[in-house]
Amino acid sequence: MSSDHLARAHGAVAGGGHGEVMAMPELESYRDPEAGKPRADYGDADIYRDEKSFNEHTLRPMFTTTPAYFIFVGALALVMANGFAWFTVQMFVGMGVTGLHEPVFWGSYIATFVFWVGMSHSGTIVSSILRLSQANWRRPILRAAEAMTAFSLLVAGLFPLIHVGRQWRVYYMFPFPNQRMLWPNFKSPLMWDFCAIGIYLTGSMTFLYIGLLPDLAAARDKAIADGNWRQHYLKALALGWRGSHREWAVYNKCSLFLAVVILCIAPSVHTIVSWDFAMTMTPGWHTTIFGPYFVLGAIYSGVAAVITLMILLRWIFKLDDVIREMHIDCLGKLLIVIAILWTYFYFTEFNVTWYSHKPEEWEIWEWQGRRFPHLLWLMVGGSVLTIFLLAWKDIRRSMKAMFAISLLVNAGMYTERYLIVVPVLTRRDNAFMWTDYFPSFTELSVIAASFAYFVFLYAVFIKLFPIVTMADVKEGVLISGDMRLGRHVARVQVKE
Amino acid sequence: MKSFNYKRQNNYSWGMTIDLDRCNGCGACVVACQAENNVASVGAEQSGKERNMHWLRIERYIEGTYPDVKVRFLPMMCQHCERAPCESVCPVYATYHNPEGLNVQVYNRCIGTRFCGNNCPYSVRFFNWWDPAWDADQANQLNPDVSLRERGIMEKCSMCMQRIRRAKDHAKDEGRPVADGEIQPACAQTCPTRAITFGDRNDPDSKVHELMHSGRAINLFEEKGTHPAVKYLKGGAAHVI
Amino acid sequence: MDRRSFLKLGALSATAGAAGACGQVAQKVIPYVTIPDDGVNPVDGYYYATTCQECNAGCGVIVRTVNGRAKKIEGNAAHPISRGSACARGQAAVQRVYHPERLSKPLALKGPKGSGAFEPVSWEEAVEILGKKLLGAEGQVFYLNNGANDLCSGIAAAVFGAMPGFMMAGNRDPGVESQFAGGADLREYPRVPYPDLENAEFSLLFGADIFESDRSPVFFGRAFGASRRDRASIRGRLVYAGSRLSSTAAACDKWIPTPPGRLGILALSVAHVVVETVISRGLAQSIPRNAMGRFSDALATYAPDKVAAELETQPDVIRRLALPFVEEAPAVAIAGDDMAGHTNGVAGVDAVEFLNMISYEIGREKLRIKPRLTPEPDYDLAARMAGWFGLAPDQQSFRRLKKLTDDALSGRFKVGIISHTNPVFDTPAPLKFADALKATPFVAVFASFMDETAALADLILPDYHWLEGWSAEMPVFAPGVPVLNLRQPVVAAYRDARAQGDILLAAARRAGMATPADSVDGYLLKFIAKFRAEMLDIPPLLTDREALEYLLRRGGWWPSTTEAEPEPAPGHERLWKFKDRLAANPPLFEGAQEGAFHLHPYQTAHLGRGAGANQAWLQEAPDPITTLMWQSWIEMNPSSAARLGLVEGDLVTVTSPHGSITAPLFPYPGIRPDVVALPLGYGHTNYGALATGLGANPMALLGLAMDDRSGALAWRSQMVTVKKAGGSVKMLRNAHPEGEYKGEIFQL
Repeated sequence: MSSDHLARAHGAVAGGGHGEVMAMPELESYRDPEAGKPRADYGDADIYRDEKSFNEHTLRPMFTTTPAYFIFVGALALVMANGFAWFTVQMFVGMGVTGLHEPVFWGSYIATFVFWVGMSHSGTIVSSILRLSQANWRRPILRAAEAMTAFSLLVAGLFPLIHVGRQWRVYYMFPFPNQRMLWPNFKSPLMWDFCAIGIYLTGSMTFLYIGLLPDLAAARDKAIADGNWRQHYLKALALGWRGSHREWAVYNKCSLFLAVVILCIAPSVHTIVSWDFAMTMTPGWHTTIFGPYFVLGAIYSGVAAVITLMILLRWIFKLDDVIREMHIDCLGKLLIVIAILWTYFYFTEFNVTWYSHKPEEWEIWEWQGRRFPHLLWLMVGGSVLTIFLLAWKDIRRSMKAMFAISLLVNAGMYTERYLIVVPVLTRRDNAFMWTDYFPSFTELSVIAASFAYFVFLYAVFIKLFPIVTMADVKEGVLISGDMRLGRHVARVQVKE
Repeated sequence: MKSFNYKRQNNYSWGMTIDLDRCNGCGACVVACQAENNVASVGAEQSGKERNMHWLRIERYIEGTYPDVKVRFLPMMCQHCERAPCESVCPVYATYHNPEGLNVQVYNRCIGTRFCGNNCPYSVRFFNWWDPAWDADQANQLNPDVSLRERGIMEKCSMCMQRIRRAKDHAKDEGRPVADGEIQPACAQTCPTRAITFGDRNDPDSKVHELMHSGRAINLFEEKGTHPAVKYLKGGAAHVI
Repeated sequence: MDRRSFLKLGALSATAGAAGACGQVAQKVIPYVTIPDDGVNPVDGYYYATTCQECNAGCGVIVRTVNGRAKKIEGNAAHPISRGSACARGQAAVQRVYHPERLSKPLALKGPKGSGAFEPVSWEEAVEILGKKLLGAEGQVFYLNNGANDLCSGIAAAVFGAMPGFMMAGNRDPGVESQFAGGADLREYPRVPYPDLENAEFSLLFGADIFESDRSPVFFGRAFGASRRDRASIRGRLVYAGSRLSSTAAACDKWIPTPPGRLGILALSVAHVVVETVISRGLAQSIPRNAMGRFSDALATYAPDKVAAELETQPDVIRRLALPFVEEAPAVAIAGDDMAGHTNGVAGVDAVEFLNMISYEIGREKLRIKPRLTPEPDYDLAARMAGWFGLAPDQQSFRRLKKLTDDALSGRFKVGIISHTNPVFDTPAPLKFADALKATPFVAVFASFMDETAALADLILPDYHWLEGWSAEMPVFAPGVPVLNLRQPVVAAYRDARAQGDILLAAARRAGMATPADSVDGYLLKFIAKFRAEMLDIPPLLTDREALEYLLRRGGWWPSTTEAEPEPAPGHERLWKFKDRLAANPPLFEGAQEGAFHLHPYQTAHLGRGAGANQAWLQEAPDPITTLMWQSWIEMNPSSAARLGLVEGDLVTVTSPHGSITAPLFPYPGIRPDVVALPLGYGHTNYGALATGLGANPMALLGLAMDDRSGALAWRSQMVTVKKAGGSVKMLRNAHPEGEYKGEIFQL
């Protein structure tokens, strides 16, 4: 599809503004000319009739707020306040309020940190892969996924702060020298981590924001038309987007560029997180597979989280027409691939340890099997079972089943993080110091608060920004259609 | 008189040997270390949570079953590795290798990521889970040479750095190098069986040098390649009765 | 400088120190550890020589003080007992000086006895009270200490000794009197010898927990280290026989489990092999053949083949244990707790002495350096010195303590004085010492802390910690040379304490008694004057005070060489005395019944008999064997535990005819399946916040069985039943229950 065409199409949508009802003639082509029944994906819903109804529909979650929303946010605030209170106690009293002890210096905080960093790989990486591979079904889910990246990174970024012993000295890690020209130690994986997460957060925030621009403009127009208070920040944030040809050209280039950049950064981030473990000489952590294994695990949990979120959005905001079964189906297929790869990695890690029979590594596995059999089953069962379950189309298309499966996958992945951190540290090299660990109430509160914080950020985001990638959907609508080939009708799409 | 150029000529490399054939596990070193280095007692509850701060501990291993039982003692403290796993992972250089071969913990620099503790195969780094507490009476005993630590930082055996500095100061005042045996860490000084020997590994005439080259010296976790400055002297005999 | 000005100076420096320390506890002082090379040099401090009194071993120590505060205790390198080292308890002594629960004022009882209704009184009032009571006591006074031969016991003996009804006793570590008495008639002076472990190539320990009892674990530690590795090509081998693999046994090369009370038989069996070998090889020509024949006859019943079954070992093992005693290399046998703690204890110690003597004779003949047995160059001097301090050895037996208690129960005493010992806690319950205190109209207790005994006192007198006052003592165990230990005020008194000697003297004056001196330092000077007359190597031109200072700088007096060779003893004559003694009675066990266990109470290296239980450092230092902290336990062989369906941490009730206690189980493979072991020192009921209620006191289980010959408490002769109490506790152990069996990771 030529940029000219695209520009025209977008210009028609966004540039035309909200007030002016424009027909979307291309939509007609989706309808089966014979049956007059929807047969294509963008088919039946009235929302696709014209842009206004589409905008109205997709912006409804943003502009319409029920009391239930405030109750929900209030509940989240309570959980967050509880976690924050315990964290404050921890900071002023000491790390002793956690369940950590020698030599389990890292515990559930770090496991949760890895989990959230992993979650962040859903969005942006999935989004850029799908963008670059031009998967057409990606369109409505991009925003939700990208926002997830940004927010889970924000949550993840809190954990190093929560975890360290002296929060008030954390700035020693900032990459600038002190008065004695002493820089931080760039040999430490934690510094790589610090930098990688910083870059990734910046990159994915930018990615999210750039992607938001056309939709911000649409929302701005609606807000102005409705006299809604959101117009104030929307005006500023939309950067005066008008949908001009040049804007679209820059926008497209920028998105493409960012997609490529993010695609490079994202694996490096989780690889580096894995190096926090793999670079040590600790048996059970010191393995070369950790990099790809973590990245894949991250994508795995991320995609599952996207599914969870999509289904929730669909259900809460009645976005069934935008986020359709087809999308969940496609995500399910993606999940199968990742699950198979992840299972393969897990198998490899286990198999190599098992075969080489290094006593210290065996001990960790044995201990893990004895101490956490239920968690082990949850983790392995969660991933392997997923492969089989998702093989059925009926399951992939059943929202309830997919919701359950996605939760199962993430429960399994959270468990995996816990099992990476804890059993290894409770069975260190020095057998005299073997021990056990259980997170304290403080840790559980803070972790619960991190989940609440994530949902809270998301909930607030939904009310302030368009959650559906409207421009992308509209583009998809514009560029696809049916083509008659004799008696058959085939879906075709203009190549981007 | 002051011909010995302290700065230029000192080429110390501190090391320690622990003779496992001499150690009887009495635990005098444990308490001596605690008294010398202002190591806080953590109390029964925290002991139960395995948060003891003993920089030096005596590990006790049991071999065999009744009646052929053998109990071994293994004093364990920071091994002051030449290639210390803890040093490279600290993001803020709170632990580093000083020019005299010691692994040094800079309390004020530490932010408490505890990465060093995770990477220490000997598990000899200790974290201040709480602010260490001394009541007003007990504070009278605190050694003024050793700084108190606050919550949230790592600490560990310093090889009685304060004693090394004191001996070096005296030696410097007298314009001579530190003599062998002049420095004794608290554990070595109190050890009734003389299992612990401390000295300059670079001095070919030092006791510690002799012991390290006695053929009995081993490194713990040799396979890790940490090159500890603390060597253990193997003991035991094939023939007993 | 007289004492007053010394104290003034001390007080001044203490004030200065206190003023400096009054602000908040320095949280961020960063001296040596991080400052650059040429940073400030904090004050080095002052070092004083004195003598540790945490137990009765008498180790010389050097104390570092900074700003008038004691900071650190090190061994005195010149001292023949400590030889530059200190044990855990000695190291922890500074913690007692600055213990927050240390009593700061004399306390007078205002309510009924045992009510704990004490009120602080001034020292003048306290002296007045004690003096009045002594005045009305008409000599019916007892003085009980922990068995130390020090200046206080000397003053007590000098002040009260002339009174007809006065009785003195020492509350010694259980069982040590048997170690005294064994082979007593072989020695001019009946004291337990320090066996020459240092020069031995082979040491056979008969239940001798030399690193855990107060026969100076420091001295023995040094000797052990030297035996192992001080000689270029010789490595000393040690074998431990006993019913529990103690921390001493762990340091040895081999542990031979023996049934309780049978160590004497093992010693006799070893002696049998030695005697037979001597005869068959024609060794030890100095011993008349008929004597050897007599020994051979006497020992015939102890041939390895005959007793191996009783000892539950192989005859061959006994033969191999005996061989080193007839071979060229020096060998020594050491008797200890597990032998002396039974009703036949002295017989066993005799056998050990016999073994050493005969081995010594063999070695002497071969003109080889053999282990010195007890080179005490001047037995007369040692005996006289001991006499100066008041407490004769026979006054230190448990039998004597029992007599004192029985007398007190019958109401014989009007005044009791107890000095730094806690018999209510650390003597068996059937002794009824608490009742004896209640039956005595007035009891004054010198104690730095409220404890079980002080709680039953009428007057509690918090005297000096040993770092604060003057004293001199004669160590109970001789390290081969006679030793006089001195103590000096290293720091000024931290609390409002007074010297015990001063209080005793002042109270005696108040009661109109004759006193040997005005003050404790005056008494010390008199003592030094007397002492100089005996000792030639104090520079003669010094005044008495200068001589005292001369000695104080060293920490005491001992011969300048410790290498004094013993007089060649008429070995065969001494040996001949054994002719009728080479027999061990079967041990008597109280409470024997089906399924009963032998109770094996023992002193741990850190808590001893329990005085250290209120010290955080000692409670937190993991026990060497169990690695447990902050709790007591009961050790049982895993096979017995499995039979009773018990796992680690299960609470079990241990019952004897005298009482019953509950403790958590610690399965330990280093103990015989028919024995359970319990540590002393736990189970305080009134000893400050840290110790009270912590663990269980095995003294509640013991009866009063004694060794007839020595009058020692046979504290290992009790049998108990063990059953599950229900419930379990978390064991506060340092070693991981699985990891502790993985020592092979270090490839040692």
